[in-house]
Amino acid sequence: MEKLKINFKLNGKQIRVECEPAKTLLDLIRDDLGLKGVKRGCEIGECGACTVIMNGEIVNSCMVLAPQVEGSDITTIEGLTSDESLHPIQTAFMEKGAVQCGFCIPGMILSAKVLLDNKPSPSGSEIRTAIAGNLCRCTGYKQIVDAIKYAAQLMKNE
Amino acid sequence: MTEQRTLEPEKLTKGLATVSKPVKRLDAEDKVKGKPLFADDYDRPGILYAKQLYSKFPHAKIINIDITEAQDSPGVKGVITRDDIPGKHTYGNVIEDQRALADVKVRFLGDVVCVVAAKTKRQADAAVEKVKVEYEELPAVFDPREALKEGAPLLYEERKTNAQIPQKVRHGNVEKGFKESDLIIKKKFTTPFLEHSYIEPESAIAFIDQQGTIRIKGSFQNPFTAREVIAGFLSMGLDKIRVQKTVLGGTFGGKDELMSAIGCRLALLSLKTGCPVKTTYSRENSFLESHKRNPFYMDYKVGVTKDGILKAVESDIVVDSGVYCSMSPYIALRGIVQGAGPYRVENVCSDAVSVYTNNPYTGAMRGFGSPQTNVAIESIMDIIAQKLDIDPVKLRLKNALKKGDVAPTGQKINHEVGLTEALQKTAKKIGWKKKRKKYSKKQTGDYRKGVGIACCMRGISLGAEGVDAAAASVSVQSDGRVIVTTGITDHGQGSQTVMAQIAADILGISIDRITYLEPDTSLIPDSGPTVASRSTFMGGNATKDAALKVKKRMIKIVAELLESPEEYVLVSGGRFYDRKSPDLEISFDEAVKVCNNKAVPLFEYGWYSMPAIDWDEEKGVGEPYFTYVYSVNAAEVTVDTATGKVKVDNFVSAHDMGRAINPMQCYGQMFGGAAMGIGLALYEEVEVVEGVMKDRNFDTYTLPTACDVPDFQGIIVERPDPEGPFGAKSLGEPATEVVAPAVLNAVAQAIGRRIYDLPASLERVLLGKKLSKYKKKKKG
Ligand code: FES
Ligand code: FES
Repeated sequence: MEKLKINFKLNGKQIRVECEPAKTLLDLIRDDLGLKGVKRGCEIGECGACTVIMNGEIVNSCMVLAPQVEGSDITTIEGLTSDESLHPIQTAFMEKGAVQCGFCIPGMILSAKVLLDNKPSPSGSEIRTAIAGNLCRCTGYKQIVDAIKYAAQLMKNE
Repeated sequence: MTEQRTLEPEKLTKGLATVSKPVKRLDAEDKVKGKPLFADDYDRPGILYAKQLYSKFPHAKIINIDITEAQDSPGVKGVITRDDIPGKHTYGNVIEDQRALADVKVRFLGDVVCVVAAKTKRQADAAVEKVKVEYEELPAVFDPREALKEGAPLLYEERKTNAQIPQKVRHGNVEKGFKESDLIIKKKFTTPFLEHSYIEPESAIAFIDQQGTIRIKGSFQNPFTAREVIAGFLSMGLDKIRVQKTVLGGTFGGKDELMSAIGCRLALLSLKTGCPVKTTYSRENSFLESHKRNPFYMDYKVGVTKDGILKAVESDIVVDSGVYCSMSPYIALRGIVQGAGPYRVENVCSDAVSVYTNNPYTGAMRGFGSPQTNVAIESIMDIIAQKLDIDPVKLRLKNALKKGDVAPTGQKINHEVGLTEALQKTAKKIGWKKKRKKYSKKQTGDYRKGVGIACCMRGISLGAEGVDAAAASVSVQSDGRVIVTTGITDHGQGSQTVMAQIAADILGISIDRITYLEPDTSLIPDSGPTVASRSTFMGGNATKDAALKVKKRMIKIVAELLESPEEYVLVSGGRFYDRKSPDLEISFDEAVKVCNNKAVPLFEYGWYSMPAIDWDEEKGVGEPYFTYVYSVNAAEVTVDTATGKVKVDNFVSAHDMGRAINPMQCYGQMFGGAAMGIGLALYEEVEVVEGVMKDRNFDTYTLPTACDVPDFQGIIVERPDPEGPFGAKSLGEPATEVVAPAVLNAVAQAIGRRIYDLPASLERVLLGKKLSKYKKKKKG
């Protein structure tokens, strides 16, 4: 199959890849680029495990074809902070007990990031709406919602 | 009402540095960074990808399998069918009926006939399509009640019946009980197939290491069981197979038998090809092939006096087991043992039988039979309350078990029971009195509100379901750091952290000195399956045993050094000291050094086996579990009567769990369990029409999202159990098992009508019946 050349920014670095036009962004990031923090859960855009940030917005990477990211700016959980330090959202998730198996967590945290970037003091129901596309079978969401509220505070104090 | 002693958690845990504290999970930092490697994140050079071919019919004889074309397909390195199995064809915990590769027959559409391994996933997909299978279709049966009838198609001809092992509970004399009753309620209830819906699908990788050992890493809930199955399948020694569980993205009872089958297939393919072989399931195939929660068909009859004293409970239950037995007979048993509620009922007669059908197979799922029967008994309690005009909370308090009472199985309850306290606290927290009264007045408009409550008791650990023991090891390193391992797997519930807390407090050191290693089947003795909410109790006790042995050894050396009698030496805050003269002290690290210099080994195994229980399966009497957790849930709902949509506005979950070793994680269990229970009550059903599974992904199988569940509240009640580590019992399953009846009882108050068949979907709430999304074929 003919391969396409794609240029985009991934976690702050400009990259250039060759890939088949029908490849999903999920497969490109996980399989070709080796960033395993992006998870595969349903591949039909329902679970949110494959969430990444594309040009400041949340997308399910299983629903995006790789060629569509030409010229975009993509952030995955690996690129949330530029170094090994923790983002306040990550700190909040740890402290509020929001993590169980961890499979949904990268997606959750990225959804929370986009929310808090746009709305520094969200209400409980705004938080719930923002993460409604991220399924979690372990936590019942409560400690995740609490963590995002707490993260909002931490970010304000920064 | 008898006053109950309230035990203050702080008092119980005085002097303990980490137990009863909301300690951060050991693995939290890695997980928020997205770092842990789940099964699908592993890779190896020269890897092959496996793809399985499923049966075409719900029931058929396999006449011939032709793999020639598939074998010659590009990239294909190996193909396996029934003809390649070196050892045993069958496996199973209760009845050996399950097959990693179908042999004589296929019995459902998720049976695997053939597996190919190829260089790329796409090549494997293409090749598997080229396998030609010739079938002879057989008559099939899809309703377990039909399957019990004379002349129904048999799944296993040699068994002569589709019934598995019937289970019963007998206590007192129900005839007498019904005679003494003023009111008798008879009702039928049903529950559907449910999917565990772990967000991580099944995945594993097999390869052969330099010593010729077959290594299998993957999303195994029960690595020990898998190893035994794989060894039997390959006809190899247990020492030649190493199964390692990777970080699990949830399981809830699900990643069990199917993972064993996947392990068998990958191991055989890697033996045949000499290459590493991997598979990761698509969500559709995970739905198709994995087991489900058992549908229950329940007939209940309950007798009560006019004062609301329960006199008799009779139940007759048929359980759909699908094509394999899995744990179904014990799920049926758990269902009836707990199916008369946490009440003093003197007369009980319950029967349950699990039955083979050509449906997907069913087995363990968080709750294990009791979420189904709790729906029945706790709905009936509310029907009684309404008929006798007694408040539902009062009715439950009247009948609630207390220490010294006799449980519905005839078992004398010798332990502290926190049920009454849990009922009172839950009612208070949800605002029961006011709301119940307010919502019982005539409501107008589209939106109607209701509150509901439900309670249960849960036998902890395996009890009558099997022999139960667990192992642990504690190893103090020369720098004073400690490695803890148990045979208990962490599914995400946080057992690693709990074990580390227990070890830390016994050794008197801070938790950050402890590293928990995930078990590998070759490195720790078989600790049985991580099921039945047994992790904290069994694993915790084994860890305690190992840590105590190490501590004892250290104390002996320290006592010599300090010239103090051994019984005076204590350890806490990272130092050993003499309790009579506290200045006589030595740091933990120093003590380790001294032990090392004296060649005193600081490594120990710990072992714990369950206290004896006494259950007579033939007669259905005895003590099925040695102790119980007591749980109460309450829900407040709003029903949109124009659409049938139920919204849970408030939810309170209370449990007497013995001791909350890690309260933050306990709340996590409660809230996660509550969300799963709301799914069971309102949304979830895998529809299976004539053996064909209609819901195979999260587009039509709807899980609760963050917008579908309320801001949960949890209540911890602590009545420490003398057997439990620091008094702890368990929580994982209690958290799920009594959610649905609380929600259903609230819905019943809101709409003035009761739902008997789950889930209480839009159409059931609106129209009182289910509309299938799918048409059934006309029987011709
Ligand atoms: S994998 Fe993309 S939404 Fe589920
Ligand atoms: S923590 Fe397991 S799915 Fe969310």
